Amino acid sequence: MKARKKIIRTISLVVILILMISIVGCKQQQTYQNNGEEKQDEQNSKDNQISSNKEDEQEQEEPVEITVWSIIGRFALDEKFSEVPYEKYYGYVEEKLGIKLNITEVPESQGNEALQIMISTNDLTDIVNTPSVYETKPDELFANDQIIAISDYDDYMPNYLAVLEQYPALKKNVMDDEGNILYFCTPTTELELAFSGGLMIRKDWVDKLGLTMPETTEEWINVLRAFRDQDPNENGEADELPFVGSRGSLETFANVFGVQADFCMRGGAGGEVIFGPFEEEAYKDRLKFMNTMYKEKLINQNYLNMDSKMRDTWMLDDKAGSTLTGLGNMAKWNNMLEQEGHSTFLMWPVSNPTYKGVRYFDRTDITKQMRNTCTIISKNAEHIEKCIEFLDFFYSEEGKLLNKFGVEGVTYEMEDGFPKYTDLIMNNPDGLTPNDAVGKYIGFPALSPDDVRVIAQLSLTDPASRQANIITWTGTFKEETNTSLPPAMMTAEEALEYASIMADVNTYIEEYVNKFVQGLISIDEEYDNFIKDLKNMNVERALEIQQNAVKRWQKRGGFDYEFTMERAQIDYWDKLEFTNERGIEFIDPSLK
Amino acid sequence: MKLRYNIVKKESFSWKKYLKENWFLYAILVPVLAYYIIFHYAPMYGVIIAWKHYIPSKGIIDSPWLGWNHFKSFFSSFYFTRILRNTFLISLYGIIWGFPAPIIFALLLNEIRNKAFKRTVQTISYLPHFISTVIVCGILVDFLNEDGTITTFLNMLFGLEKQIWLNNPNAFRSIYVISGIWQGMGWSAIIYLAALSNIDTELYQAASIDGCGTIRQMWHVTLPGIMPTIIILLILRMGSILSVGSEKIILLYNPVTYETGDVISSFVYRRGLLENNFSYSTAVGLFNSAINLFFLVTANYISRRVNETSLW
Repeated sequence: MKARKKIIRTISLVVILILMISIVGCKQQQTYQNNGEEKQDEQNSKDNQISSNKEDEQEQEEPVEITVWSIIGRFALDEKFSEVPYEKYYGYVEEKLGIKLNITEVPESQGNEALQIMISTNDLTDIVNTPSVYETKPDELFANDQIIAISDYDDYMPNYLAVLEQYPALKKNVMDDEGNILYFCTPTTELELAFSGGLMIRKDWVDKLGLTMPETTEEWINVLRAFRDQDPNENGEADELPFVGSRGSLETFANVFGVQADFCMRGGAGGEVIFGPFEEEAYKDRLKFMNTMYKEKLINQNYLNMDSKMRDTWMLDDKAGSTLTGLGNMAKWNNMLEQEGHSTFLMWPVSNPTYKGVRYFDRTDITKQMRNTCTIISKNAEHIEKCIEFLDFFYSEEGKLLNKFGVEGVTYEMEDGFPKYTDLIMNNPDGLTPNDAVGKYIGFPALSPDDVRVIAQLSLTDPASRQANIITWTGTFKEETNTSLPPAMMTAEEALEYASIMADVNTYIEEYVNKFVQGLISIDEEYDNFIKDLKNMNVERALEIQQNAVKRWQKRGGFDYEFTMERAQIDYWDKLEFTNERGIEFIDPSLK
Repeated sequence: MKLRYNIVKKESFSWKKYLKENWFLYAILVPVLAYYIIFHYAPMYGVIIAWKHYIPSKGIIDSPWLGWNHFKSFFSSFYFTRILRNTFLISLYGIIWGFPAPIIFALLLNEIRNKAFKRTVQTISYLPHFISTVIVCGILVDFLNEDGTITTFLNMLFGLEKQIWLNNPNAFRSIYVISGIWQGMGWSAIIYLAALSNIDTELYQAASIDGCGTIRQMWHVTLPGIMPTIIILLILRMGSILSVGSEKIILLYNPVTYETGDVISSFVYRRGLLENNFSYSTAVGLFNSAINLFFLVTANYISRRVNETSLW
């Protein structure tokens, strides 16, 4: 018995020991973390030293420190200054405005989490440059007294106000319903900047089969049928996938019927909110279109769980006839197929087809007129005026150039008033793609309006992309037939009620639409039940809430909604070269 | 056993002396208790958000109270009966088909005399258990596609029409349950094999002298021998009758199969995580746990009455 007792005693001692070790282990880990922070501090102070040295020489008034929180994609801030001299870039702005930047960078993957922690602990930095206005919810932050309304400091932001005055619709979007301007945004004021994707089709197949580019929804179906039956890839097998898409792209395609799956606008952002399923004729046609696509195998049958890798494979295997995606993919496929020696492959843009003679669109980014990002200023900020001056600077011509093109002579050269990226960006010596090089060397943790001269050099570098973005997609756009909802805001009570209704409704629509599409239930027989169930879920009340919110949005700031986006004036194509000439014979002559 | 006997024998029981003698036993218990208190009981106060309108920036304590709203809206939800039915049916099928499978497998393995063969079969049957759910579902999606291996196989063998099986609402539960059996059978059989090895071999000898063949021996010796294990595992299984894990469902279902595949946990996932309605999904989760507790207690009660095996 003694021996046994001893064994048990030993075991218990060992267990306690293990426990203690693990506690000590935790402590050690903590100190390690602290080291990490110290390192970061060191980094920051190094950056600051560079600037403070400068200031000592100049003996100017004491610069004020501004803390900035920002997402940095793949490259840390200090990498930037390996090629771009600090004093010409960040240092220049600091000196000009009498500030000292203390920047916290967060990797994109942790961005939203870190932001939510900062918000929930009410520990915002002076300036917070957030990745998504939807996640940040500036109106809630303002209601909870965590951020300031920048419109209270009008005098310090002449440049930003000028932009907002020029584009009143944009001004509506950055306001709350009471008319306070809450954040700095990234305006996209020209149509070309907002159109980054759309429908595209194998032009070589269309030509080979003696067809014309489809203009209406019926023509689309006919062209797709021809792709399916007439073996355009000439391998003797019926292996063509006329349209390749996921659930999302099929639904987006079907939005050309002028109604979306649930709520949408009739008559553009200034019009009225409608609920898709209540517009029986158009909605039924929309469902029948999708049903035809599925039933006749015009779309890949596994659209519910397709991923983009499958699409790439089908594209490269010369099987896919058309799709709906971004500019980047179109250029990628054209380039890759050319490199692989495919002699004719040409993915070419087409505009949305017309339904009953009307061409509908669903461009949320055009209704918003800005990117998702937003920059807010904390209530806790000590030098609010300086913060606003700093952010406003990037809406001036000088600030825009600095933010979008970097330092003259290093990242861009002025050629007859056109800022052209240097080889450091376009043919990066470290082998970075132009987009990555821009991410590495250019940009402040603050916003500027988007600039069409950037995309002209970075993404409109092949005939298909240029044609799509300048002519095909943007040229046919009409705001009156844009069905996207404007970024209206509901009150807290409305939002709660709306969410509780829509939670059921969303699932229901998603399920029934896909059942209709797959023919598991008949559209003509079951449609009335579909509507009846939706009404039982009180969807009419949700429609009313949505309508009220949009009406308030339309009245925001005391002026009426008016579409103010413009076409870009581009007269510098001759300064830029194509990286790939595929499709050059079809491109509009004005783009050469 | 002896230790306890000594104490009981003493005339006046003294806690002091008892603790002094056995403190190390309690010391071993402390970490376990601490673990449960810190990680299982302390976070439970968070369940109050089921009665609140939880706003992350305000925190659990400061969020405003809402009363029974979330429960009411769940019970009156369009989907209440459906997700309850789906959860219950998937779980029930899992028990009916999935529970006996490892028992039968263990019994069959037990009869194999060739050790090397037995080991090989056992090892192969474990393997699926170690494949992560994501990969299992990836394999399923691939194999059940229109030209997938299983689809082709079913087509050749039974003449079933080639289709994407995961888009067929009628097949969803079968796919879920059968793949679950494939994944878990070998692993779950281990505990029965352990119980089988504890059966006295003399019983078999006696039975064979009495004239029992292999099947009779299995029925009269082996099964009664592992019955307590079976009952305990069945009670535990009943306790989770309404908890169908969300991972596999979410990876396999799609809007077309919501009808038969949407269960409480996937519903909670969509509401709670995708729509950020934490309070609502907490209320649903709490309801789920309450039902599970009810089933566990009932099963335990019945079992205690019927054959005197129970958890407590």
